[in-house]
Amino acid sequence: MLLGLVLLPFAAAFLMPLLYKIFGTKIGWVATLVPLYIFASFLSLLPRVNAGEQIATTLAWIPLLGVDLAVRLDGLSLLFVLLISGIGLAVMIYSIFYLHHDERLGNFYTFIMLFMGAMFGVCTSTNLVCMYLFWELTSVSSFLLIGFWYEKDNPRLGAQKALLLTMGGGFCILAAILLLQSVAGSLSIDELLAAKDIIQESSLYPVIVVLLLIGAFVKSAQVPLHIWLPTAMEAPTPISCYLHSATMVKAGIYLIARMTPILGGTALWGGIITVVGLTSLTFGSLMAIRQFDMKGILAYSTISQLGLIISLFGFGTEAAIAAGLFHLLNHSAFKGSLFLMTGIVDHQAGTRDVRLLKGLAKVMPITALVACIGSFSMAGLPPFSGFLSKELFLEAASQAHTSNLAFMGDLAYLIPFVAVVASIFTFVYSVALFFKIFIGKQVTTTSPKYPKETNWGMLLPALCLVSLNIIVAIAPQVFVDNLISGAIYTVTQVHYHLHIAFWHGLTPAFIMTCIIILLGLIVYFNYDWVKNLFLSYRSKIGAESAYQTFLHGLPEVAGKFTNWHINGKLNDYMACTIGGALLFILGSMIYFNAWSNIDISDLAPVDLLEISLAFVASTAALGVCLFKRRIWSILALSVVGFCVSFYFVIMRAPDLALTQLMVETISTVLYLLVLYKLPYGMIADNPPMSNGRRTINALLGVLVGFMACTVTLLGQGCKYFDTIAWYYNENALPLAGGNNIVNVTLVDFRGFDTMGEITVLSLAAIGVFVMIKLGREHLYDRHGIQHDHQTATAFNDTGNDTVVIQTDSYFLDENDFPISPL
Amino acid sequence: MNSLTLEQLIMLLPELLLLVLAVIIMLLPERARTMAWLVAAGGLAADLLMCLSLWGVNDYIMGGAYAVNNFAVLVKVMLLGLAMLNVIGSHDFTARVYRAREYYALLLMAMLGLLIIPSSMDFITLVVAFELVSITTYVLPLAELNNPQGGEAALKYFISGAFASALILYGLSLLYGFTGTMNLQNCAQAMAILGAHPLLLVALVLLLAGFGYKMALVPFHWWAADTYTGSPSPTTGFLSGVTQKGAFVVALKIIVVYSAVFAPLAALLLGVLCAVTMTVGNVLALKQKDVKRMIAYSSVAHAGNIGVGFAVGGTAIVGSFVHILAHALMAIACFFALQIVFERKGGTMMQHFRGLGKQMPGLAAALMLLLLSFGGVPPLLGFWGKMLMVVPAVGLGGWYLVLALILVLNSALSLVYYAAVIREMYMRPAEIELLPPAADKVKPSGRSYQLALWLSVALLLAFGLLPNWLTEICSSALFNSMLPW
Repeated sequence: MLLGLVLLPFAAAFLMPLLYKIFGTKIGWVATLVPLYIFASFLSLLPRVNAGEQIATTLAWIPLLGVDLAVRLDGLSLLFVLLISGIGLAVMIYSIFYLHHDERLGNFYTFIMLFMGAMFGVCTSTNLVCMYLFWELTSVSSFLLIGFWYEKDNPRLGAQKALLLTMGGGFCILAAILLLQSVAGSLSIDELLAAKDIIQESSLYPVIVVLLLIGAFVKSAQVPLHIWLPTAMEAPTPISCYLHSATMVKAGIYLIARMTPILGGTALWGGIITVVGLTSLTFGSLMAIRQFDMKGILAYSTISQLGLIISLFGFGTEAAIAAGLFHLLNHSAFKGSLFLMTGIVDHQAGTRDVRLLKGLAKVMPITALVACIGSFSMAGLPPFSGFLSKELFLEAASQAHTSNLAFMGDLAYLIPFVAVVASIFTFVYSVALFFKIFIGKQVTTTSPKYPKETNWGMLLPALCLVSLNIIVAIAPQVFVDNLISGAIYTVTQVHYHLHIAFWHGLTPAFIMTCIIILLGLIVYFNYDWVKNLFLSYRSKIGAESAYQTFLHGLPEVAGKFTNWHINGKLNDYMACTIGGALLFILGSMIYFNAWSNIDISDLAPVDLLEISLAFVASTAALGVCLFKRRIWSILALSVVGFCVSFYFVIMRAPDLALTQLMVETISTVLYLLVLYKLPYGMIADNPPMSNGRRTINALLGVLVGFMACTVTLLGQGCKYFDTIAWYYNENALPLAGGNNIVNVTLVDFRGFDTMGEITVLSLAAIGVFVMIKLGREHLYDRHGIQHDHQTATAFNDTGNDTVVIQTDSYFLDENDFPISPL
Repeated sequence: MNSLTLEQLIMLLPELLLLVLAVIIMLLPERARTMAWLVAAGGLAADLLMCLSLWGVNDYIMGGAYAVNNFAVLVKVMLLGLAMLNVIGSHDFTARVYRAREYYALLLMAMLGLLIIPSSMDFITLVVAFELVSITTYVLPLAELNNPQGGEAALKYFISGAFASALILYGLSLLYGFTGTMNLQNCAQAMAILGAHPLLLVALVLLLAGFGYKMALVPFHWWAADTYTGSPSPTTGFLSGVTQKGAFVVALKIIVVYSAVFAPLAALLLGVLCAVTMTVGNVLALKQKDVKRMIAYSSVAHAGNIGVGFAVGGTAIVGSFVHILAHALMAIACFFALQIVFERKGGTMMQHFRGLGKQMPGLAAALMLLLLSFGGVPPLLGFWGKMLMVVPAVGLGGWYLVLALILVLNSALSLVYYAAVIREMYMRPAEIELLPPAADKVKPSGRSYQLALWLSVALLLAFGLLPNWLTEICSSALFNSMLPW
């Protein structure tokens, strides 16, 4: 049942393209049924969950990894899924009227269904890997939705930024999950909860906390990882409302809340969360003042408000966490309605620029009402719900020094001041959002369109959301008892009773509110001066420039590396390969100290002739590498071969020596023939290798020789088995009738092998003969295939090519080539 | 040497069938391209069924040089299935190349080698089978005569491969000289008795370097990008999707042989190779403007990914096998998709992908799934393989943890360039018009490409959503038949 609800949006997402074909532009109405049904179903589960029942479904997915498709509904999950489905319902009704009929509606509803399902998955999964999968899916669907208007540049860049950052955060979470699994041996949240002490005492605990929090902070757009959120505002406004203020950005908070019972309660956890949260709170509220775009203001305000909630989780007391969860609800209500209001203004006036808008209240009274309630609630003014949770926040801040943050000592007393300063600016931009745009003697004339009130289809969802601010304020205890208390229990693991009232007496929180309103009003009356002051500072902050450096620097570095690395020259490839193999072989030899294992006691004595032969051979081998002209290299190579055959003579193996001599002669002649036959100009086009390159070749040769020598000496030292020479000594004459063991072996003992070799050689000879006989021009023409005279175009990264490769293309060419002088 | 009984010959039927089929195809008339295709595809299907019927058999034949067990059957079925996908898709490709018969005959011969590899329990058999695969595939890039890039591809592949063979044989001669046997099990026992010796290590490195070629591990990967790019896409799919995977089986066998003596050191060596491979492959792919070349480099990176499982050992090897299958499916499907793009838009550069989402929505969707799976985005099959490797690695701790971290980071890095292609397809208007599908005899419509592509994608999705079945079979085959011998 529960799993069905979670997976329903996915099924709907797959059906959307089909439904779009059937219903056309009416698809929005059909799609709305999905969140409606889910919202109703979850709401009907509310009493059961509040009664303490945990509704769970588990399907084994990959037992080998301990990954299950496990979903469960507890208080915290229920709060989130209700928010997601409820606001999703409002947003989808709104988008029916917001989007034009000629947009890609099928895509839109598919993506939004995908997102909704992914969010349900994140908030109900009890298996961490399962949760991570849904988590990444939210990033992907967010990417698709931000880039919905992909014809323009900015949405594309914004989508890319959001994807890269949130995916990066996702990988951090995955790393943290895997570490958790290795510490506690489980991926299930319940079992991790039971292993809380083991985890917190583990040496990996700080790593886990940091990685997990990075992932959560990216998702919740906390400073300094917030940079994707303002650019994500390029998405259609309903999407900004749904993903980037009401639900997806709260996934980070969900993760923190979910992990608090497991990882929380320590100075590290509380400290990081509080510092980041408060920084975001202050930074967001300051940056919001600077914005001219209404959605920009709301984006930074979201960063700020999420910072507020997160810092409450950092304080860690039951009261603070309860306040955080309560504010989460209120924030979704007022921020959602403000986004919808912004969408209406944008839709009706054609602009979101606050400089071009004023006096809209006269022509758009209902929208103005939404804006008024929403922004006053955001400012924390009574009698709206925002005031209630703001009071709780200030209360918690004033007691921060007694909470988890006691380790901060006197620094904890700074927290109330930070809270007040941030709240002052929150007050200012909230109030300004309403007064500067909606209040004024004249209706704006600078907007692209003359504004007028919109239809009820867009107003109704906005009114519904904004009315929550009043309803919650009227009956806060109903909401707290039914919706929040279960979530509080999940996070804190104790039954905490949150009592909410407008008047608590002359508490520090109330005094702080008074100060905020007073100072806020002063700042508001000097609004233009303050805004100009803020604008005079540099706008690009560190994180943004770091992102841009990464975005543009990484491909540049990669490109340079590629050009250097893959240059298309086969001889460089081979040199690198040999170098790589040598590195590993010599490395492991050094690691093992192979030279200490060499045993030379058993070696035959070496005389002068052998030494001088070795000298000649190695000098010639060096010459092969170092000679500038190819013909000299070939001759030097044959010298090496002849030296080897001399060795055979010394070792009294004349038949071997004869074979070697023949092979050497033939291969030298073949080499020379190839050089001689090479087409005219090929040698000229391929100058000899540079001195440095040839030196490297020689060096590689020396190292290979060194390695081979070591290996041979090592091999000499380990004779674990008897030689089989005695067998041939004894049996050569009686069994095969010959005294020369080599000959006997070739023709008798290994007769079949010799026959096979001869066959292979004959086949090769026939092949060569056929090739010569046929000639190049007939080789393909007899099939009547006309291949075009395409010259060899190098397709590798830098366009270089080698002699060999070029010869190959000549081989394919029909023309007889002219003979080149060497 | 025991003689072969009829009963034992039955176990060799799949191999013999391929040999017969290859000869039959060469005897077909020159213009019977569809016939050749039918024989090859049908033959592979029959072969697959034959191999499946051997599941559960556990026997050694040919004097212990040839084993028939669940592991061998699993690998054979896997490779045969992949080759069949490749052959199914190749119909339209061979319809317009001259050497259709040779193409299929060589492909079947390569498959013969690949069938021998998992069964061989003797280094000589192993190397001969490996060479059979190599030599037949050296020719495959030349299937299109009038493509000079195919020539370069084949030549680079051949010269690198010949060099690799030399390294392998050098390593084997050292191994034989030291242990006095070529049988894999005896070799392992001899090592266990004789103990660690630097010579064994040198042999291991030589073998790893030699087989590392075919796996395209850095620093033995230089040929890979040029060969993969220069070959026609169906051939590239076969090279990167099937033959390269055979080399991993060889590598696994060698590692198992060495595990008695050199377990930690061999793992470390392989781990370093894999870490470097993943990073270099991904960095190289990052700046490519040619998507085919990008996927070629990403194949290099994925080779590193697969190797991580071997380095970690234990359950991670199951991950390697899942990833082998995943990458093979992805590579085959992806190269067919690239071939379609190449034929319909004239190239595979980034600008050819612009606006593909609108022009060919089905193909673009399939390609997007493939790219996401390449990048390891859950819950596609490309993710589970990596996950199965990372979890045991993290569990082991130590430098395995670093290896796992490098793998995860590389997955993130690879997403950058995969996402770039998706962006071009869906978020840019088209610049190049679609060529009409010319459905004449010379240039068929590309339906067989589509068929192979969608079959692979369907398998990828099915395994991705229900990976349990696959992991269970892999682990049972691996741990019951292969790892304890």
